[in-house]
Amino acid sequence: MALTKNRTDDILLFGCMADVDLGTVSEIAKETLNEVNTDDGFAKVAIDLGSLYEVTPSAIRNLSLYALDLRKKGKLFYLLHPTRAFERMIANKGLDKLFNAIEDLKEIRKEIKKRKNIDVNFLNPFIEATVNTLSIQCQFETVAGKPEVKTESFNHPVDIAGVIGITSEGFTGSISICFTEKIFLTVMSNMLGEECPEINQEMEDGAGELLNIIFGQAKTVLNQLGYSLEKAIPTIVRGKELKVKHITPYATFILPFESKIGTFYMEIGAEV
Amino acid sequence: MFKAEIKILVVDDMLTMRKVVSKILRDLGYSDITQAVDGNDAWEKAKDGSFGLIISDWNMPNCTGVEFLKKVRADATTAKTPFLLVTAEAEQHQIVEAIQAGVDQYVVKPFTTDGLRSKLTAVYMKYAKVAG
Repeated sequence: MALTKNRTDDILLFGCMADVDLGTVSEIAKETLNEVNTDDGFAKVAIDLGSLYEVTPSAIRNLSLYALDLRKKGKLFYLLHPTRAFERMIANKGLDKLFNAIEDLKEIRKEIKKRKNIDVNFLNPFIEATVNTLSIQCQFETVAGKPEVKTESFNHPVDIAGVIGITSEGFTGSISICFTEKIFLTVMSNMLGEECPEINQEMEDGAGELLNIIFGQAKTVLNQLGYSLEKAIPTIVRGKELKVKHITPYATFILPFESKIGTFYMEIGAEV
Repeated sequence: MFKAEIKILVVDDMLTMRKVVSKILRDLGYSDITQAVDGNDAWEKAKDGSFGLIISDWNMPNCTGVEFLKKVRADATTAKTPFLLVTAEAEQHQIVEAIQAGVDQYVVKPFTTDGLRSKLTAVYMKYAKVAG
């Protein structure tokens, strides 16, 4: 086995044995892609080069493709302990941002910590718009709780979710609002002034409209603050026990909204 | 305030919002309510000048609320129909665009029964002033 494999938190770390060349390492790394692609339990992949390897064009090409594949999957790629020659070569080729050369795994953790901070000025208008919209349009009172980083153990049931993708100067990523059937039907019954016994097509439209209203309010405030938010179209997903996943190598935040009949969540996932 | 028998056209691509606006109008005492799904559908229904009030969403596919408003204002039969725009966004440039197109009032979502009532009163007063 030319590569060892370890998992620590959400980092998958490959170590190289001393008797293989970098071309082989990059080929083997490519072969691990299937495993990397089907395992959502980690967001970063690092290959420990152990300062052993000389640069070859084929190795650079293979590792570039590997790093690009990872990025498409929303995962970050790091090269641990590259040689100076390797670092110079990837810098000359403009690939340093793709490879993230590092000397110590601690640097990954620092980087993660840094990127866990989402601009509060950006989030607050969404929180206020959610509370406001549900109160005014649906007579449904909620109190926003404290944001937390979403962990793998987070397992709140979701029956319908509205997702909106955002590109702006302050934030690029996605925001979703996830309801249980019980809470959503209560919200819609209040909004329409009629009994809503089940989630149907009309209810889905209603979820989209609620998100539109929330987004519209937040957008007005944020654009006054200098963010340049464009129009965005919400997507509604419905199903029993849905799992919402934001494709991002960074932390996804969950924000609880407490109501008399239960809690629903807003999820915020920032992209690279 | 507008008379209870006034004919009102409610335009929105979302069924839920058509229902919400219609319900509020019924709560306010209006019963002759017709619905349209976008600006094109609305224009087909409104071009004979039979409506006494139009309440239209802004963002709709095919023909937006402002495009529909421009058609209404450009045709002599419908030009003087009271027109309210409903929008989820209230940015300055949009308000300016709506005013330039000849809107009488705009309502920002989310809104309450009282909120819509006060906008309707403002529109009614505007037309009563012109007539009187």
